[in-house]
Parts: sequence; C-alpha cells; structure tokens
Amino acid sequence: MSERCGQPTHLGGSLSEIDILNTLYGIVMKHNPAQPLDETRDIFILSKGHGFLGQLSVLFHQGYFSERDLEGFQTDAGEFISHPVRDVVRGIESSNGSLGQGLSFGLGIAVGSLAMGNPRRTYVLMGDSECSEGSVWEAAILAGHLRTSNLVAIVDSNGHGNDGYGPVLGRRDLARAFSAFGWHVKEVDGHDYDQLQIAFEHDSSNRMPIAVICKTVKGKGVSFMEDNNDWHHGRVTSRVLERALDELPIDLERNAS
Amino acid sequence: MQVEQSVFDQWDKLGLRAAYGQMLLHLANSDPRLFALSADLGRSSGLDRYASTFPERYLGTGIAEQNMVGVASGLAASGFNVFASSFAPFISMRAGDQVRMNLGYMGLPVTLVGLASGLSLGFLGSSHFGLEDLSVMGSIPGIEIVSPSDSRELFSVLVYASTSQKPLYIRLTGASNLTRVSPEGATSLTDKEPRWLRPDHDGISIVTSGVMSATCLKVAESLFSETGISIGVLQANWLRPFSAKGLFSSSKVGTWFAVEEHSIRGGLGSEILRNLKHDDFTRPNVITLGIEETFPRGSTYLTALSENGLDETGIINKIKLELKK
Repeated sequence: MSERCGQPTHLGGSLSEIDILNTLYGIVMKHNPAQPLDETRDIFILSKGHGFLGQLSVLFHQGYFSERDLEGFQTDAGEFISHPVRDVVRGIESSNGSLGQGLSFGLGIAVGSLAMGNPRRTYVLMGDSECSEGSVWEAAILAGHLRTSNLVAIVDSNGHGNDGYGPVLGRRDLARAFSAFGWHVKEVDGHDYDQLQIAFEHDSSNRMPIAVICKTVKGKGVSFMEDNNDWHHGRVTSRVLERALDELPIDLERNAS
Repeated sequence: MQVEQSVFDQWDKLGLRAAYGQMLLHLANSDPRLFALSADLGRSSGLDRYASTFPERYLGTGIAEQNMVGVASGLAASGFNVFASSFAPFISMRAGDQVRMNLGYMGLPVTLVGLASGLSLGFLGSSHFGLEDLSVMGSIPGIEIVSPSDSRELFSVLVYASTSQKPLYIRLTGASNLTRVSPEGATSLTDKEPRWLRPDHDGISIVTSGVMSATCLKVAESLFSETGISIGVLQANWLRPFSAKGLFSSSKVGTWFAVEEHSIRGGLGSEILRNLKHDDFTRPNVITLGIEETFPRGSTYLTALSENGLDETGIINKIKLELKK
C-alpha cells in the first residue's frame, strides 16, 4: 500500500503497533466482520490516528473489506486516507487524527455499555507522545474515578514523536501517572504476543480501568526503519520495498518463536 | 408532552439556564435513554434534582469540557440521547476541537447546551461571556444551531433534540424573569422557520434571536409610540438550518437591523449578509448591532447591555441614527 500510493505514509508508528493490533483482533477481541453492527462487539478506538495504515492492514486480514478497498489507500479515488474516518461497517469505530481524543470517546462508550448492561469491552490505543495532550488526562482522571473496568487504554510507547526525540512522558512516568489516577497498570513488551494476550485478558475480579504500557520499537520488523524516525512519515520506493521484503521471512520466524 | 402553563410561567421566571435542568428531569421521566452531563455546572443549570433522581443517567465530568464532549459522543454512539452543558465559551471554544471531531466530522447526535451565553453572566466578565459561540459552532459543518427565546420554545427544542439524530447546539441567553414572546398557538420552535413577531409597514425591520427578541419587541413598540414609525420584528432563532426564504417573506423590507448579543462577526448579521444575493437590486440595507471588536467590561447584566448599545435605549438610538441618514 505504501509503495503503491507513491505518497509518504506513517510507517514507523504503524509497525510499532502491529503486534498489539494482531493480538487484539486475532485473539482477544470479540468481533465479527460479517456482523460489524453487532451491539455486543468489543470496540477498538485508534486514538493515535496516524497509525491507521497498521490498523487497515489488520482489518483487511480480518476480512472487513476487499483488497480493492485496501489498494485505494491514499489514492484520490480510494476509500482510505492516512487517518481513520468512522465507518463502522468496515470496522472503523471513530474518526481520529486530532490527537488526545480517543480515550474520552472510548470512555463514553464504556460508560454507556455499563449503563446499558452491554458486556462488551472498549480498547483505546494511544501513542506515548500523544499522552502529552491534556485531554488524555481529563479522561484518565474520570475513568479512574468512575472505576470504568470495561475500558482498556493501551500506550504504544515507541519512544519517538513526530520530531523524533523521546516523548515528554517516558514509560515509568506513564505507568506512575495512570496508577496515580486509579488505573490498574500493566507494563509489557509490545511485540510479545503472550505478554500482550495476558495483559488484555478479561479478569472478572478487576474493578479498575486497565492501562497497558507497551514497550515497542518504532518501525519494528524492518531493520533500517527500526528506531529510525525518518520513517515516521516516509515514502516507500520500489527499491525500499524490495529491501524491506527481503527481511520479512526473518521477522516472521522471530515472531513465531 | 403536556406541561401546564403555570409551569412555563415558573420556568420563564427562573430563566432558561435554571429551567433547562428541570426540563430535562421532566423529559427523562418518559425517556429511559436520556443522559445528561455537566462539567461542574450542574447546580448552575438546574440539574441537581435530575442528578439525584437519575444518578445512573447523569455524569459530572469535573471541570473538563473537552473530555465531557468526548464522553458525551461515546455515550451517543452507545445509543443514549445525550445532553451536555457548560457555559457557552467553554463548550464552544475550550472543547471546540472535540466538537469539531465528534459532532462535526463524525456527526454524532449529541446536544450541546451553551449556558448563559451573551452578556448575561454580568460581573463574571468577558472570560465567561458567550460572544463567539455562534461563530465557532456555525463554522463546523452539520451542527444545527438554535437560540430559544422563552421556556416554551426551549422545551419544544429539548423534545426535538431527544429524538433528533443530528448534532445540535442550543444557545441559552438572557437572565431571569423572561417575557414570553412565542405567540399563542405557535409555541413550537421545531419548524425552523423565522417568524414575524410584529409585522413591518415602513420597510424597516429588526431581525433577532433568543431572549433578545423580547427587548426588540419593546424597541418596536417604543419607537412607534414616540415617532409613529412602525418597524417589524422578525425572529430567526435557527441559525442552522437558516431559512433565507423565511427571511425574505416580507416584500417591503428596506433596512434590516440584525440585533444580537454576540460578536458582529459570525452571528446572525453575518448569516443574513451571506444569504443576500449580490445581483439583487432590491436587497435590504443590513446593519448589525452586536458586540464590536472588544472584550466587554464585567458589570451588572443591564449595564453590560447598555454599555454595548444592546439595551432598549441603545437599540432605539442606533435605529434613529441610521434612519436619519
């Protein structure tokens, strides 16, 4: 998709989140692409809207839309741009791109689900640099206060913002802040499927909102993109694509082990 | 839904801000999906009894308007009929981007209520005045905008809002002891058309909205008894959808005074001008009386209106001045 559209795309943050998304959509979440409007489906909100390329890949593999739709990514005639635009039938629950808003929206859905007696859970994925937005903490304070236990905030902590330097809030800070506001905090390797699955698993004795702080690598899986912020928003030429694909089998093996 | 006239009288006495919460309590009795939020201004908007009667359908978010709008939108996406309120500048500007993304871009059917807009917060001053809310809400596509002028109209709008699938901004103006202006038998504000509260005879009309309508009626009466000039009063409470057709329902209109407790930029006057056709030789002369380029001084409400030329005397003087030209 990135190569085909000929435009810069948000590769770094899409690769850092991909294992988180695969765990959610592939193992943890209750959802069915054939019944996207099922009211008891679990809800996923991509608060870090620039990670849409990653989410699209996962939604496609889950069967939410055709390959033709996918191929239209960032083309003038296509369905998809670089940020999510609410389209529930295609598995996209909210419009994002303006950072720091997804946790509030997810909290509203979670509170509404509890009030309606709906058993579904709501997962909100944020970036670590996004967590400098004040509205994230408005939502965090209220969720902790309300003990909204059907809400899971996930931070993709890849250590880079748009400008490349480390986020204002490091992993320790994030964990301490969520904890101080009444969240059950879990710190995991964001590329370890077992750790992710355990962190996301429902625990009926839990009475707090859950924050999963994921240590990740920006550009994960492609050596020359890893930890290299030039790929926050970069253009993939056919040569770059070839180099990246050459590395892929190694990565698949590593993830499987 | 039947409400006794005596209750409306009581609500007019309280003013729209305090009546709002009582009206929601009334509606929530028969609407199990109604949900109200406030950012620590529940008591200031008459929501205390609602909150104690329906604690499971009330959420005080603390002083966090951005979060309130996001949470309200999530609740709407879950199927609730959601009302969220705060003072007008905070709900329109502090939470402006959340309004844009959630109500605008996503089109989620939340009703936002801007409390005590205009100059009505008096001594609280320009930090609390609502003088830009119409400009902000008006520039976000898809949000309906209405300013009711008395409690009957507000109630009819709230009934509409609880079933509407569109995002809506309700601008509440005025203080307490409101004069009822909605004509007998035409108390619903849901047809969204402007209406003549007083017909024009001499080609001169005031176009206004909200609680300012009552002041403008008094202006027209005083002007008539003093000068014999009879001016019309057209109430255009819906800013979106805005009915230009309804506006041009008088064939004789030559000079229009758009009177509003709002910045002269982006409110009713701007909307009228935007709807005039440039090739129309019969187009009226439009003069907007509103807040000029200033942050008005905090004072009693009446003084603030007077200092900004928006009390009865100020409006009469400006109209006389223009008509002399």
